Amino acid sequence: MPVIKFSDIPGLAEAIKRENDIRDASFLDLTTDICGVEIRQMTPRDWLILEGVENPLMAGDMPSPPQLAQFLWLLSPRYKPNAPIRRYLFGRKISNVNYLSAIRACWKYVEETFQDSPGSSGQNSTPYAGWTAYLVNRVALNYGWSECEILNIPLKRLFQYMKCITRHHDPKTPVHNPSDKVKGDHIRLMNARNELLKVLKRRMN
Amino acid sequence: MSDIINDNGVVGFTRQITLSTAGVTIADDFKIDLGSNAEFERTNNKSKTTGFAQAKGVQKGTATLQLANSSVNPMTFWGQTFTEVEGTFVIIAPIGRAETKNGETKATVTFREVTGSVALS
Repeated sequence: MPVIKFSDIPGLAEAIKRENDIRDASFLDLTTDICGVEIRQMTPRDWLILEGVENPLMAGDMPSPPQLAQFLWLLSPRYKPNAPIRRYLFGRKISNVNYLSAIRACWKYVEETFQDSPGSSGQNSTPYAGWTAYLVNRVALNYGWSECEILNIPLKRLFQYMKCITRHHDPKTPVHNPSDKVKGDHIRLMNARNELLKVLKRRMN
Repeated sequence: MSDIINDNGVVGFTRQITLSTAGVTIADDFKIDLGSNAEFERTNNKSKTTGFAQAKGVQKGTATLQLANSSVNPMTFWGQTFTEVEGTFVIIAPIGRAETKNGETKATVTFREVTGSVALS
């Protein structure tokens, strides 16, 4: 089988279309609807704050209702720091939101945000600066953008730019796609099938 | 000239290959180049060419292999062979570092066409 067609692997075409749609949509400044609550795309600045307050949604864990509200408020297009009345009104608005549905939607939102984040080489190296510094350094070196600009670019776009930069400098570096999971399942299925065929052949002989 | 139509029916440069030991794997960015042909010239005492011979270049390529599971050490891919329409190939050094994300591991490998027998040591 020389070249793989989409039809050769069930679900691959859909998975590739889905990941590409998410990538393209990130350039349109669209908001995401979380059970009727609009939130904007996450930037490195938002990521720093949510990680700093250890919001469980970032790690795919279950948040408390105040932590869910904190997540939605920070990412709301109406967010403004030090605006207690605005925050109070927002809290009242989201008080009727279905808790579990909202959490599921937030997990999906976080997963889509990090779909193009870099993989791990498994080699531990001593960090000499924060992750954000590495991110800003890499993008600034290649595109000449300012620190402020980079920290306010949606992560979905930044991760795509990071991939482009990596491949530009080293075309042989492995890069990951969410659709790799579909391909991985296909490989495991094919190998399991081949192993089973080998066992059956041995038994028949 | 007819238009080029991309019907999204083919995943570009991705192949499914079967390695001699590791079994089925997916190879992204599968590229094969034909190496330069080696040319030998015979000259006379006035350095004038009186004959020549040429040996066909060896096909070499690279690909990013997706491993069946993250516990597989990509170094074990060294020396494994696979057959494609272009010929039979053997994975040679260097084998790039492996990267893992969401449980899927990928590693870049370099391979060359098998000419004669493959000797591993």
